[in-house]
Amino acid sequence: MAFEKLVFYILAAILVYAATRVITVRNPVHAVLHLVLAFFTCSGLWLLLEAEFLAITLVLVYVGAVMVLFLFVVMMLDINLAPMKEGFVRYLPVGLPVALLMLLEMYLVVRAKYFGVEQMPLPPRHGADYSNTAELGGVLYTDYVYPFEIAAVILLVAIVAAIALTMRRRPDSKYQNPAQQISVRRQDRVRLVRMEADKNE
Amino acid sequence: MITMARDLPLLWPEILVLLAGAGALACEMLRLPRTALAVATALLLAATALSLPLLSLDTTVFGGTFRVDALSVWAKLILLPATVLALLLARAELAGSDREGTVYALLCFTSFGALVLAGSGDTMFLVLGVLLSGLGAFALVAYPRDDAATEAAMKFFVFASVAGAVMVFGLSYWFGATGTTLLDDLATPGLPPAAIAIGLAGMIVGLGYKASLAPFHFWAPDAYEGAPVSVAAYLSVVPKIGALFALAQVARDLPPGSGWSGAVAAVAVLTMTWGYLAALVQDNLVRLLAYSSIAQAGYFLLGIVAVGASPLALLSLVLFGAAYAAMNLGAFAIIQRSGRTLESFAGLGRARPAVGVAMVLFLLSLTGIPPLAGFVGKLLLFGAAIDANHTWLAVIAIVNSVLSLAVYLRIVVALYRQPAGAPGVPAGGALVTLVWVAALAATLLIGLAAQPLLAPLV
Amino acid sequence: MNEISLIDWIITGGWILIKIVVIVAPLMLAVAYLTYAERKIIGYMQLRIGPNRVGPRGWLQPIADALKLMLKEIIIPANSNRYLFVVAPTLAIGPALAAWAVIPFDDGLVLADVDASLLYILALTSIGVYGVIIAGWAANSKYAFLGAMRSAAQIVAYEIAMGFALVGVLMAAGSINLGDIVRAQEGSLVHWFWLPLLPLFLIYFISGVAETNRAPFDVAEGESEIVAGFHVEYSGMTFAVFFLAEYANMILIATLAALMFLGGWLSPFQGVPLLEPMFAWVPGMVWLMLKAALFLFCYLWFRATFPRYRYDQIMRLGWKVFIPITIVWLAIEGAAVVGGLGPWFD
Repeated sequence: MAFEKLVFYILAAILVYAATRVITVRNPVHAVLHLVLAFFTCSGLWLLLEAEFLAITLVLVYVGAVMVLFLFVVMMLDINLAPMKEGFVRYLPVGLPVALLMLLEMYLVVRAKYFGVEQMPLPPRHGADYSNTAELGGVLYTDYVYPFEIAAVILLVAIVAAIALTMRRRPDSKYQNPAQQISVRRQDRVRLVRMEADKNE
Repeated sequence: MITMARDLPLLWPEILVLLAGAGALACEMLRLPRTALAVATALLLAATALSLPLLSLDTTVFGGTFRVDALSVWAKLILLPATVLALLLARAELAGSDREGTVYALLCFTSFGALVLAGSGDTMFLVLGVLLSGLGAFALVAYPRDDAATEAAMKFFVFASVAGAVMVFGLSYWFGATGTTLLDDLATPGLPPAAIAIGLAGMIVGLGYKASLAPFHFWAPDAYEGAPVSVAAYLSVVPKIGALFALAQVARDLPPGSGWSGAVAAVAVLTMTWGYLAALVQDNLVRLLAYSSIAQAGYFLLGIVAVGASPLALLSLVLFGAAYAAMNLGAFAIIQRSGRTLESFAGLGRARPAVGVAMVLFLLSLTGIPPLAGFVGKLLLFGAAIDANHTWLAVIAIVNSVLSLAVYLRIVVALYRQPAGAPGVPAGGALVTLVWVAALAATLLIGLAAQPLLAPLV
Repeated sequence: MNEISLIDWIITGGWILIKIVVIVAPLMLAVAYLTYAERKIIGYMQLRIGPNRVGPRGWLQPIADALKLMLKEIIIPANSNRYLFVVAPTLAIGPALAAWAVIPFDDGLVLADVDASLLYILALTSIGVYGVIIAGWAANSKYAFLGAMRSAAQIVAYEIAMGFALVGVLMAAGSINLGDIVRAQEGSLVHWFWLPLLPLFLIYFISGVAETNRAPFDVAEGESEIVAGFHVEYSGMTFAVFFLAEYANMILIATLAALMFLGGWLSPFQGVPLLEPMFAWVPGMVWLMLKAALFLFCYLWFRATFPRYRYDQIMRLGWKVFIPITIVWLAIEGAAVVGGLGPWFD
């Protein structure tokens, strides 16, 4: 128990630190890397909650794929953050009320009256044979199979939409057709011409 | 517990719509756009046919998360034929363009999203439906890839992202308050009112953007203007009705005393008035119809306000939904046929009497003149609102209808005005003619046949 | 709940440390001699002799190399990002070593018998790419950056095919625990998953070669085009760590292929009347190592045989060939599992 608590506090501290750095650090690449660290520690916290499937999937999907592409783009674009920060004071009158409003909303709802520790009892610990992965699969493919499949369709539509928008056959683009290349025959490429040898030197 | 054997057959229409999209995509892969259109049309019609036997049902599938009730089944019966008409319009406008089949696939998928919305019994479906009917729509708007279309799609996309985020944020409060994602559980007494209110606000933002309710409508005129006309016609009908029906589904479960109907009524007043006032000054017909469609969305809210308080509410929503789909698609079809500006309509009524008469009928129906479909729908909506003790709302709606006459008469006047220059009347293809004839038939039929249809239900 | 005392913690921690050393030390040795094997094998394939000067028949060559690398100066380029430049090699080798925690060497012989070990491996191999990307970026050099970009795109592309191949394995075994996956292949040589999952097996191994940036997919290094890619600016120990990570990953991929498709620690003579008792004395770990060695030999063989892929061809192979094949085969496999096709799925 005590050990778990210790691990929790260490991970939580790293998470808060990393998340803060994401928005305070100057270099965008560093910001992305801090975000990666935040995801990683977050996944550690989920492990403590016995949600190993979600924890590993978080690392696999977000750290392993999404953030790699993020990093890819950030490195390629070479963003300079300084001009972005200039607008900070200008937009503060708009941003601050929104932030305060959200804070107020959170306070109204997350007040101890409704969501305090007393209202939410600790879920029971599971035995050693409990498999989070199997449980999740059991729910996902029965009760929630319909929304699950719709989410899959959303991904499909996103792919179709992205490809429809970006990939066009341009008439001026040149590309190789390997099938055509390998089926080429000698007649298509070489023409043998019989020529008289030049007689007068 | 869940039994797939019971639930899956109830979802056959949705499965067929999905197959229509996938089929169109497969045909596009083989570079067969015409086959893609045929496959999509056939499967959508089959899905419509398969929805008919579900009409008598009032049940849920997958543990209450998705509803197969009158609203959701009627949504299929209205939206799927509307999608077919939009497909034909798209074919007429975009035939021969690059990746034509993708358009049909995206139209099918977007319709699927609208159906998901219309049947949602769970907040998850609201989110998924808004996403699904949005993603395809961005690509459809940006399809021509010129500057106007790209700008329109960007505005649409940014607006949608923010609205969607606000919606998810709001809905998370409902989840926190009830501990489940089911809409049914919102009726549980003793929930924190603040959480319900925030959730409702988020949901009105999210669905309001989708249905282009004021003040979340700003994207609509720009997006419609930049998009191909057929896509604008589609967007003004299918995702909009899906979102409005979703709002009705939510309204059924909201606790009556929480004042939600007041909030919705306020949005209704704002939407109707703003829509028609802005429409008054438009010269671009697509923009004009965009604002008109915003205002019409406000009328739907009259029925939503009455949900749970009046037996007329659902009936009026369904009937006005069908009427709106028919007359709006018809009007857009004629714009696609004849041109986007008020100028291009000059003298059309004399050059092509049939087209002119059809356009006049669509516009009168949008205004709500008897005996056309729009009249029946609006009448029922007013009745529902009065029934639910929102008489003032009905009065404002009627005043707005008078205002709308001014909006639509501008087009009618142009139709029979002497053309300034040569009568440059672009010839519409046979497909467009088919679409507006079908829409006209539906408009007249719904208007004339509504009474006997309603008799057993009222 | 009884509180665990400090002494218990230290004892548990110490045991875990010892176990880690028992796994990592032989692994490092294996890496060292894999480089020796590589040079020898490729040498013979190219009708050369390979290293034969240091020690008898060159046996001490890897030790000499290691010493040399340790003693060399670590040069940090000017205008580079010092911190990330040094961290990058650690990020590369960390996951490569951590993945070994869940590898079962024999029935029950595993450091951490995690339930979702297959996912764990997939997650860890996917974050190895950070070492490469950060190295390429931090060095502030064109070539290094190009190498990093190539590597990032390539690894993301092949990870998907690899993941799908693993989905096939877990469908066949009905578990994502590596131990259970091996136990599900019990029976005989034909019970192993290589046969029913033949396309997935091939795709897994080829993707594994691509994931580890080895020839013919070594565009991230591409000596002839971008000098040495992402680690062009590294020297001494920092370079050596990248080297270690690459070879540790190779051994990991080979071991995983052996575990998932060739029956892991199971004897190949299982179910054969005469040979099974004859080889019963061989420990399972030896079989596993032999099978892994088979794949490692293939790695070296590829390098000696194939010319480097062109970059767009790599992308095409990954996205347009492998991913569709895996998806189709998953559908076929699903039908086979539902139909109870013997002797694998009954």
